[in-house]
Amino acid sequence: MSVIETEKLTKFYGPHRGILDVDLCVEDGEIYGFLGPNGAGKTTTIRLLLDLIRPTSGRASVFGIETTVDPVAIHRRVGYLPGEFALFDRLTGGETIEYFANLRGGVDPLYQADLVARFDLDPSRRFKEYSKGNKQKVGLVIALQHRPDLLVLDEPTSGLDPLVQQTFFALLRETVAEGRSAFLSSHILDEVERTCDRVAIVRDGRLVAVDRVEALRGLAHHEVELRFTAPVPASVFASLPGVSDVVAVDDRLQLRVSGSMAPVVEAAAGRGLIDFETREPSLEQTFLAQYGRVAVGVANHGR
Amino acid sequence: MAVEIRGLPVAASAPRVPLRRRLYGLGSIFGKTVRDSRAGMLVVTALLGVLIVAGGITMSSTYGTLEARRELAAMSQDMPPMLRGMYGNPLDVDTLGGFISWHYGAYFALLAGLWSILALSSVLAGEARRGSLDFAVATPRSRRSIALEKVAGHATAIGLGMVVVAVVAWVTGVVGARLPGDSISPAAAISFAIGLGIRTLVAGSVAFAVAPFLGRGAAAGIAGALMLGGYVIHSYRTVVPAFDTLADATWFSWTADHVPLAGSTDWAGIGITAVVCLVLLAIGIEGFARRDVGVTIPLPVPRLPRALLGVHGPLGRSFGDLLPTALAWGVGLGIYGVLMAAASQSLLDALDASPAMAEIFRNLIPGIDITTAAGFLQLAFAEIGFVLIGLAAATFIAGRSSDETSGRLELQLATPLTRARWAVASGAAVWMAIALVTLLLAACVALGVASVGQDPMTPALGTLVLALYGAALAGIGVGVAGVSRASFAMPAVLALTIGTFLLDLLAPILRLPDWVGQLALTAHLGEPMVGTWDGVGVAVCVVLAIGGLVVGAIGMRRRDVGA
Repeated sequence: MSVIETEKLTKFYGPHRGILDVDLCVEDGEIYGFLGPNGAGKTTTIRLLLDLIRPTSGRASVFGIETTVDPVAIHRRVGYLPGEFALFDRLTGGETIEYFANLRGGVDPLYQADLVARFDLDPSRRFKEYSKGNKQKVGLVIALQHRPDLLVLDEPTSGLDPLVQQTFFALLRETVAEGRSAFLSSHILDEVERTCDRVAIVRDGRLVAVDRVEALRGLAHHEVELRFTAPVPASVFASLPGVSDVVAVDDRLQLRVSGSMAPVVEAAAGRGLIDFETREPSLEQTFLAQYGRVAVGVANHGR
Repeated sequence: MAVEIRGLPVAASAPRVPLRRRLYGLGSIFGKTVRDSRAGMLVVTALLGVLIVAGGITMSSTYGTLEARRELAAMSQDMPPMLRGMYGNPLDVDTLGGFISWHYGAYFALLAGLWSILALSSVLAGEARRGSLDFAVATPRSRRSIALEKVAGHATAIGLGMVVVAVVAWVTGVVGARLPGDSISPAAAISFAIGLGIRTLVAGSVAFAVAPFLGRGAAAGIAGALMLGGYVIHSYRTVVPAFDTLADATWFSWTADHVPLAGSTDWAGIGITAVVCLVLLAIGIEGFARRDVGVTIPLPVPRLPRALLGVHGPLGRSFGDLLPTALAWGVGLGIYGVLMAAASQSLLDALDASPAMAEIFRNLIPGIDITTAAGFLQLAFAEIGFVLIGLAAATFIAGRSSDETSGRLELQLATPLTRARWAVASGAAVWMAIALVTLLLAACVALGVASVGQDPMTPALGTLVLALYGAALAGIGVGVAGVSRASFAMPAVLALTIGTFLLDLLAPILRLPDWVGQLALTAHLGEPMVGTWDGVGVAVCVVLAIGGLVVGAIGMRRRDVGA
C-alpha cells in the first residue's frame, strides 16, 4: 500500500515554477529519500503533501486521503519537521514540546521523555537561547513524540553534531522496524545511503530519477587521477577489472573505478607513481550520470 | 625535482561602485540604510506635512479675524496648567506659526521620535538578531565604520525629511497668512526643522546607545518610555510637583524655548541636545564595536506564571504570546489615564474660578459638561485613546501574524489543528489582549476619577468603547490576513487607525462634507466617557470584529500558508 502518492503534482507561485508534473509513490514501511539541489522543489513538494500550500494542478494523497480534502486526518498520522522553522521564543524547549503534544491531544509522556533524553536536550532553556542544533532537536522531538505513521522530514540532520545524528538514525531505524514510514529530503549522500530504501531526485521542479538505494551502491564509483614520472600507456589500466573511461594526458591518467581499488594501486605502484587523487561523486551526480536529466515516472524505476 | 612556482593570477580589478549607488542604493551600507529608510521617511514626513498644513488651514479659516485671534490668545493664556500641559507653552499663538507650534508641537516631536526609535533600535540590533549583520561584519570593514554608516544613513533620512518639513512650513506661511505676523520666514522654517530633527534624532540615539547591550526590543522599549515619560513629565511639571525636578533632565525641557515659528530660538538648548545626541550615538557605535555581535545582556524580566503561558491549545498559546505586550500597553495607558483623570481637578478648579472660561468651553464643546471629570476625560482623553488602542491593536495583530511569517504556524498546522480553528483562536486571543488593556485602563481611570471625589463608574465604563473599537480594528486585521497575506494585516490596522484619526482631525478643519467626516468609525461612538453611547457605532464595531474573524477563517482555509 502507498502512504504517499502524487499524480502530475504541479505548483506555481505566480509566474515562478515550484514543481512540475511530479509523480511520487512512497510505499508503506519504507524510508524514502528526496534529493535535489537548492530551489529544485523539495520543500514545495513536502508542503504540498501537508496541505500547507495548494497544488496548481495535479493531486497528492497521503494514506489514501487527498491532501486538500481532509488534511487534518493526514496530520493526525504525520510527524513533520520543516527545513527552517521558528518557535515561541518565550517558551522553554520543554514547554514547546508540551504545547505540540497538547495540540495532538496528548502523547505518551514516557516516550516523550525518552526522546528528550536520547537527544540530550535540556528542556528547561528558553527556545531563543538554544543553538541551531538544539532547536533542531526540539523540532525532531515534536515530529517524533506521537509515534506518527509517517515522518516527513526536511533536512533532518541539519545542524546536528555526528553523535546526535547517530541517535537520529537509530530512531529512524526503530520507526521503520515498527512498520512506519519516512519521507526525508537531504543533501547528504552518506545519510541517504545509510537510511533510505529508495531515492528520488528532483531538479528544476521535475522528478528526474527514482531508484532503490542498492542500485545507487551498484552505481558507486571513484574518479581517479594518477600522476607518473613519465607518460604511461592507457591500455595498461584499461584492461584492469572495474576500470573504465581511461584518458591519458602527458604524465597523467584519468580513469573511473568501480569496486576495489587494489588492482589500480598495484599497477600504478610499479610505474613510477608520484601522485594519486581520488574523488567520489555526489549521489546526485551518480544518479544523473546514470539517468540523465530527463524527467521520469515512478513506474519506470525502482518499484 | 624542480617545481615551478607561479604567482596566483591577479583578478581583474572590480569596477568602482558609482557614487550615486553609494549614496542611495546597494553600493554601500550608508546607501542601503538611506534606501531602507525611505518608507518610514515618506510616511513620517507626510504626516508632519499634513499636520502643518492642517494648522495653517485652521488658523486662516477658524481664526481668520483679529477678534478670533484675540479670543484664541486669551483662551490659551487662561488655560489651567492641566490643559497647558496637553498643548504646551502658548507663545504667540495668535500668529500662524505660533499656533502650529502650540497646537501640534507635541505630535511633531513624538511622531518623528517614534520613527527614529524604531529605526535606530533595529538598524544594528535587529539585524544582529536576524543574523544578517554577521554577513556585513564579515566584510572588510571595521565595525565602527559599519555603525557609523548606519547612523549617518538614518541621520540623512531625517535630514531629508526635515528639508521637506521646512519647505512645507514656509509655504504654509506664505499661502495661509491672513494677518500681520502670519508669514513664516525661510530662516524660521529652517530653524524649526533643525530643532525638530535634533529632537527626533535624540530619541533614536537613546535606542541606538542601549541596543548593543540590551538588544532591539529592550532598547526600543527604554527609549520609547523615556520619550513618552519625558514628554509627560515636562508637560505636567506644573501640575504634579514631583515632576518638576525630573523635568529638567528631559530633552523636551532643554528645547522648550526653541519655537522658531513663534519667533523664539534657543540654540543653546538645541546645541545641548545635539551634544547629548552625539554622545549617545558614540556610545552605541563603541558598544557595537567592542561587544560580541548579537550577544546582549538578558534583562531580569520575571517570567509569566506557567498557567498563563498557554500550552494547552491555540487560544491560550496565542494569548500567552500577546500577554506581555498587553500588560505593557495596559500599564502604560493606565498610567496616562489615571494621570489625566486625577489631574482633571485642576481644570475644574480653574473653571470654578473663571466663569468666562467655562463659558468658552461650553461653546467649544456643546453637549459635554466640562465641569465634571468624566467630561474632561471625554474632551482630553477619548480621541487620543482611540489612537492608542488602535496602535495597541496593530501590535497585537503583528504578533498574531508573526506566527505565520516566522514559520511557527506551519508546525502547528502539521498537527490535527485546522486552519479555521487557528484563525478564530488567534483572532480571539487578540480580542482578549485588547480587553485586558482596556480593563487595566478602566481600573486606572476609575481610580483617578475616584481620587477627585467623583463618580468613577461612568467614565470607567466609557473606556470600554475603546475595547470595541480595538476589537473592530483587530477583526479587520484578521480578515485582511485571511484573504490576502499575514504581513498585510498590521499595516492595514495601522493605516485605518491613522486614517481615522486624520479624518476626525481634518474633516472639520478642511470643511469637508459631513458624510466624509462620518466615514470615521469614531464619529459614531458617542461620548461614552460621559455615559452617552451610540448604538450604531457599537453595532458596527461588533459586526466588524466578528465578521473579520469569520472572513479571516474562511480566507485561511482557501489560501496557501505562508503566502
